[in-house]
Parts: sequence; C-alpha cells; structure tokens
Amino acid sequence: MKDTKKAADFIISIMLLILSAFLFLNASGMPSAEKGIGPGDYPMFICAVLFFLALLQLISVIISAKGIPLIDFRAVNTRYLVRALIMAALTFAYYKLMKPVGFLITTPLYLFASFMLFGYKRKVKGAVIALVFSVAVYILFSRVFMVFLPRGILG
Amino acid sequence: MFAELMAGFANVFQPLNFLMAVFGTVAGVVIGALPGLSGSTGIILLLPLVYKLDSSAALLLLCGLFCGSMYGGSISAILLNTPGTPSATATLLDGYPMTRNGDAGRALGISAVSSFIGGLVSAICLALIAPQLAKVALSFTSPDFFALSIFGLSIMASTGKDTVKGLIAGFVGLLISTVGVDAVAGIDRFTFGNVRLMRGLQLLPVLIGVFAMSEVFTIVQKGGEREGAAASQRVGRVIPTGEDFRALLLSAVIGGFIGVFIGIIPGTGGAISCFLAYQVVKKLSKRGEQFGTGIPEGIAAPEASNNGTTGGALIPMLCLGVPGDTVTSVMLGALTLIGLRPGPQLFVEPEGITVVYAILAGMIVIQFIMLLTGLGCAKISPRILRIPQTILLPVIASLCIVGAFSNSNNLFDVLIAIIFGIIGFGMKKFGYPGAPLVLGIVLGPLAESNLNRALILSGNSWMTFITHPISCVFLILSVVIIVFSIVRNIREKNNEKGN
Repeated sequence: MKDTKKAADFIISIMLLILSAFLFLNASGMPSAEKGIGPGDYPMFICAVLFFLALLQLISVIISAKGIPLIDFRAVNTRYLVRALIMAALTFAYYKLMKPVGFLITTPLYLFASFMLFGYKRKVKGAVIALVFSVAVYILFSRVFMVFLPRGILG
Repeated sequence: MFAELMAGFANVFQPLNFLMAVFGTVAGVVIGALPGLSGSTGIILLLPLVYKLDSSAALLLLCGLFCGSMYGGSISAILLNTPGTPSATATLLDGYPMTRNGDAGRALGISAVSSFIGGLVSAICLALIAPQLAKVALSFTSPDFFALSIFGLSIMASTGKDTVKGLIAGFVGLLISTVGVDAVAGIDRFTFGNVRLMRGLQLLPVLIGVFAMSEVFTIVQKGGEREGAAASQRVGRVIPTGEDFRALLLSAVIGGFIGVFIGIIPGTGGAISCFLAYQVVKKLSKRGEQFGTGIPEGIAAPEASNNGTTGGALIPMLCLGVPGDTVTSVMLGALTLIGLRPGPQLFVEPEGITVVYAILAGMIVIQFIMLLTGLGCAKISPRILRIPQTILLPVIASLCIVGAFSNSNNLFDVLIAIIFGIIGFGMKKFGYPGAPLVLGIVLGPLAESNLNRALILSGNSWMTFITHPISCVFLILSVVIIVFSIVRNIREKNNEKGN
C-alpha cells in the first residue's frame, strides 16, 4: 500500500511540476500593471510556489524510496478499483446521455445498473426504487426548485 | 447586541425559518448516523435547496445539519461500534460497551442530552464571542486580510498527516480560483479558448465533486458498502435517570468548553476534541479506571465536546471568513454561493446583521430541536442504520449530478463535478486533503483583491505586510505553523521507520 502511495506521489509531483511550469509560462504572457498586480502576477506567484512544493515532494519521495522501485503495480488492489472505475464510467455515460435521452429515462437506468453493480439482490424492489426516486426528484426540481432537467426524447 | 439577538430569535421562529432548522437537524441526524456520510456531504446534497431559500432560512438549515450530524454520528458508534462521522470515534469507547450490556437506549439518551449540553455551551459562547471578535476584525485593512487568507490556508494545510500535501492542495485551490476572466483587467486566464471556462470553475460543482462524488467512489473502491447493518438491538428507556444525569452533567459541561476551545482553532474539529475531552474527563473523574466499560461520563465527554466544536468553529468562519473545520469550510463555500461574504462586514451590513443574529439565536434553538430529535428518534434509530448502502450510494451519486446541473441549468457543471469527483477520489486515496483545496478556491479571489489593494495603496511596497502589525503577526504565525508541522511530520515518519 505504501509503495502505491509513493508511486502516486512520484507521478503526481512530476505532473504538478509540468502543470505549474506550463501555467507559469502562460501567465507570464499576460499584461502587467503599473501599480498593484497585473492579471498574470498572482497566478505566476501561485505557480512558482506550487512548483517549489512539487519539487520538495519529489525530492522527499526519491530520498525515502532508497532503491525500492518507485512504481510497483503489483501492490495495487485491482478488484475494487475496477468497480470504482466502472462506477465512474457509468456516471460519465449518464452525463453524456442525459441531454439526448432525457433525465426520466437515464436516471432509473443509471440507478438500477449501479444497484446491480454493487450486488443489490432484489431486482424488482431495486427497479421500483430507481423509478420512484427518479420521478420524485424530477417533480421536486421542476415544480419546487424551478430547475428544468433535460426532457430528451420525452420532450 | 441584546436587541439584535432578540430580533434573531424572532427571525428564527418565522415559520419557514423554523421549519428549515428542524428539517436540517433531522436530516443531519440521519446523515451523521450513516457510516461513510459526513456532515459536509449532507450540506452539499442540500445545496440545491439552499440556493432557493432566503439567506436566514438557508443558514438555519446548514447550522441544523451541522449540529444534527455531530449527534447523529454517535448513533452508529453506540449501536454498531462504527462511528458515523470521525467526530464520534471516541463515543464508541463507552457507548458500545453500554449497548453490549443491554443499555442501548440509555447510551443514546446520554449521548443526546450531552450533545445538547455541549451544543448549548458552544451556542452561548458563539453569541458572546463572535460580535466582540468581529469588532476587532473590523479594524483589519487589506494587508491584514491578505495575511489572514495565507494564515487560514497554512493552518488548514498543516493539520493533516503531510503538510506539503496540504499546501499543494491549498495552492491548487488558489490556482483553480484564477481560472476565468480577471475581475480587474478583464483578461482571460487559463481558459484556453473555452467559452464555458470564462466564468471560471464554479464552486458548487467543485464542492460536489471533491466532497460528495469522491466519497461515493471511495466507498465503492474500498468495497465497504453494505446491505444494511445488523443493528437489531432493542432500544429500551431513553431518557436518562436522575443518577445518570448527575453523572453526565459535569463531564458534558467540561466537554462542551473543550469543544468550543478546539473548534475556535482553525483547522481542527470534533475528531480531535472528542478524544481530548475523553482523556481530560477520565483524568479528572474519581472512577477513571471504569472508563471503557460503558459509563455515562465516557459518552458524555466526547459527545458534548464534538457538539461544542460547532459553535466554536463558526466563530472564526463568521468573524474572519476562515473556517474552523472541514464542514465549516464547506459552509463557507455555501455562504459565498448564496451571495454572503463571511467576515467582520457581516456584523455591520444590514442584511449581514439579520443573518448573523439569526445564526446566533438559531444555534441556541437548534440545540433544543436536536435534543427532542435525538430522544424522539432513539427508538427508531436502528432502522436508519438498516438503509442499505448498495441503494444509498447510487442515489447520492445521482443527487450529485442533479445538484451540479441545478447550479446554472448547465451540463458542463455536471462534467466538472464528475472530473472533480475523480480528482477528489485520487486525493483521498493518496492523502491529499480536500478542505485546503476548497478553502483555496474560496479564499483565492479575496487574497488576490486584498493583495492588489494593499500594493496599490502602498505604492507597490511589499514592506506594507510587515509594517502592519496584524498582518505581520499572521504571516509570522503562518511560517511558524508550517515549519513546526513539517518538523512534526518528519519526526513522525522517522518514528514509524524506527518501529
């Protein structure tokens, strides 16, 4: 577990170094002000501190690793990670389909698929809960909160 | 101040405001009781509702949720030996043994009464201290406010296990706050031609992602979701007997004051105060050796102290705009979403005064609501714990999506919530705290505008931050806190290696 964290810290530090350097250069092209700070100065300051912090973390990871391979994917427990990724993918598909298909169709399907993914055994009860919840939220948001959720093909 | 407080009480007892206080408290108790769901998740799930309410009603809802979730955490600690929230971790030390002895109802009753006493102590301290502190803070100038933002971020970043990671999270938050059109010069910053990014990354979808979506992904990834807990204990008499009440009273008052003190220190919270109060009361008690076997004092001290932190944590948030803990940092975000800027100005602006005194009076009223809810719901509380997480988690994920959409009827915000959900999941997994990130986003614009103003007024002299005594003190404190906590982190790591 610790090796996974060190590998992650190593990768995150490098990503932050690249990101902060890139954004620093981007901000340095913004106009400066005669008095006070220009629009680019404040982000440049933040990027510089972030770069320093990422460098500090990178050095600390390299020192503490002392010969241990930094990236050891054998340490990753894949069983539940895959489920979390499926959950994220399902959520992304739900977002993508909500507008063209509509909230009232995608939400019960998303909920039912997630219940099954988590191992909920009562299919009929699950389907009823998914449907009732979706309709209740739709009515609550459209009638009470005046938030009009996408109607999609039902519109 | 007395007249304003009375007006605050009148405001709280307006039908809608009172209803929201009751709703928030009851929802908080339920959310707090469910393991894995914290008060901050509850606040985020209710944000779409908060948006549509008048500011007093919205804040009473949030305060009710905050206090209710603190008590709610003890229900699962007592019945399941699993704390519903981190703040209830110390409660299980004596709460669960009492349940095993067949006294689940007694433990729940002691917890509810102690939470009430701790909460009341903190609400009174809040009403007495906040207006005075705000008077002092009114003399703050722009260098002081800039230094205060740095101080808030430093202290929030340094409370975790790894200060550097906390600081990274805080500075990423500050960087996120710069995305969009610059308020002074009107220049696009980091939008890369994307029109939707011109208004910046909105706080609500980021909050939903980092605190609520990520929690769903985390529980799924740990394989920790359950079909519903087997909390089938029979709950007998709930209202404490005279003997129990005498045993708990002093412990609860001590716990309450410890909670207020810990709550005021930014970056701390109930998770720290509950253990501290437990240890202090154990040392002071004549029957210290019986702690851990299921005695009333062992439940009263941590429960009173975690509710004691609620009012304490609201003091720096309302007076200075620097939150006391994770839940108040989410509340700070919620306040900015409804158009209020926490800080001393709240205590002088007409709308601010109405809202502030509604909170001060509301916090007192909410304790009574919480007591009645706690005692009334104790009998049915095992049923709350039977709600299966296999159903609850997808429902929360779906509410997150709807909540993000309701921000501006825009699917782009939903995408932001999902992306930040994944980022928040990674942050949790690899030890990067979420609270400094959110604080960075909230304080970012404030820090920038005050830095700009301070430099304009001083003719671009950075010495202005040293020559202003308050600013100088905050900056020195920030450096001391960061250095001290980094040294502490290194020592802890060395100790771990040594073991």
